[in-house]
Amino acid sequence: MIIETENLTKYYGKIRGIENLSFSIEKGEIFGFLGPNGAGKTTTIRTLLGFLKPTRGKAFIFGKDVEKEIVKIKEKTGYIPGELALYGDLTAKDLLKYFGTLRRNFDEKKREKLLEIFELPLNRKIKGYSRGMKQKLSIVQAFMHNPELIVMDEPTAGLDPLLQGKFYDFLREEKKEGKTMFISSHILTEVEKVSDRVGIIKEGNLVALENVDSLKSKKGKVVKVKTVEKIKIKGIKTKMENGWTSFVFTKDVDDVIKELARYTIKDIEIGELSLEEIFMHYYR
Amino acid sequence: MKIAIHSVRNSWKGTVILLLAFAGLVAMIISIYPDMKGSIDMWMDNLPDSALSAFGRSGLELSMVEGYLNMEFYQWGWVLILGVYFAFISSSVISKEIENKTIDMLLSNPVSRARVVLEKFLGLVPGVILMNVAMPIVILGCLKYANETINVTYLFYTHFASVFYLCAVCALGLLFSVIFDETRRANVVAIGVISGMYIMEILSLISEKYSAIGKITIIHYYDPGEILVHHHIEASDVVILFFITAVLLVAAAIYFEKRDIAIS
Repeated sequence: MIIETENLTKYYGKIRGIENLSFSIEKGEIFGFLGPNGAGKTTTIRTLLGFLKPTRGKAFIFGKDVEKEIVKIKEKTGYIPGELALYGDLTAKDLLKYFGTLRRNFDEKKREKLLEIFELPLNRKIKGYSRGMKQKLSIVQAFMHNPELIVMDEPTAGLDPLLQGKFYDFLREEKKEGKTMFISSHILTEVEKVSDRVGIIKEGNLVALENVDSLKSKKGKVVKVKTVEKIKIKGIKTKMENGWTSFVFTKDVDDVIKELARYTIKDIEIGELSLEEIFMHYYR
Repeated sequence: MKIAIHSVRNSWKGTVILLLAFAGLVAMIISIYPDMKGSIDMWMDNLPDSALSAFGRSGLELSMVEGYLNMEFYQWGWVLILGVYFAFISSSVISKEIENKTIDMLLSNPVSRARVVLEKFLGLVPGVILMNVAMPIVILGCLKYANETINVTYLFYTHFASVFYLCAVCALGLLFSVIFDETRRANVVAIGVISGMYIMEILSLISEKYSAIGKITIIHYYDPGEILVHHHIEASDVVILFFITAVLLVAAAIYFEKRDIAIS
């Protein structure tokens, strides 16, 4: 096991952060940690990485207690914080150099490779960076010492779709090398592209822990249909918007078509249920 | 040492600016000394002892250039102003990283929080040393120009003890810097405490009633007048300052290790 938590709980005074989180992540796994804003994703990450002391429970990374051996753990861990606070007065080059000297396994070749994928104006001061550039820089620093585990808090925020694609391709490559990754996101469709397994956190509690494949196999289609008459199907909740009726259908497709055949159809769209919709449908 | 070096890069500008300002001030003070020499003594003689204490603790003999420098510069410029300056920058070092949230990035490296505290402290020491090396040179230069002489050995001792005093101030500031998340609050508390200590020490000299309260201040253990004018350096004072520094640093390291670093 790379990460293991036992009833990990964090309260900020009386305010709930996370409650009784128990999960484990295996070597080589990409784990998507999902939940709406304020659900406790960042609290979980910051407790795992020793920034916050657990109120109750335990967390282990590489089998080591995060409260006791966090420095050892960090030698083999990379971290992309959710808050992109980098030293504004430094240039990216200086920052990478500075952090390089603090990391035991800093790998110059790896850094060069990363900078080829995530191009950056290295000689510019970081305070002049756009959000996307800062995000790229934080990706480079998190991977440049070849860590075995990379913990990422909303890593694609600020990246344009093209870069997001590049980033996911890069993660798949890293996975091939046996790296373990923990990615938090509030956008389910994002992590479903790379994750093997997802945990869903809601109000500080883990409400689901599933393989992405089995989650996707939870049968379902999204049907959007434009009809002359008003649609009413027994046992299914429909939503009306701009003349379109939409609903989630979890039974056989054949049944949907036969059901809809009773109406005069002007237009129809049938699509796969995204992870987001699965979440809304199953875990609400 | 990398964090210390990075930290030095951040604060050297302010220290150099202050050094230049102090050099200008000292040059001015010394340049008017020949004209002041005769008249101040008379004026000082007429003041009651308790009022005299308000100008400093000891070594207020203005007929000597040491006494003049002590009263016009060391007692307040060095002990108070420079003390406040180092309290200000030292109380900023870690609180600034927490406030700006860069602490997440810094601690993503395999470094313990205790090491961060220690290296941040070490990063302040070069500024302290620079001040204490450059200032005596400036003073000697100015005195030569004004045709005055001073005991170089005790000028050196004055600044030797000053290194320990300013290190203790930095350790105190650092403690506040790990306690408060907001730089401004850490600054206000650190400056307030140093200024408060100064007032307590002066008060303890003015009135017998308060003589004990001076002992709990850092300032009590560094009196440039005693060294520069009376040529007396108390070794135990230096040891106490060293001890205070060590205790404050350990306290800061322990507190920082234990606390949550919350970012909202």
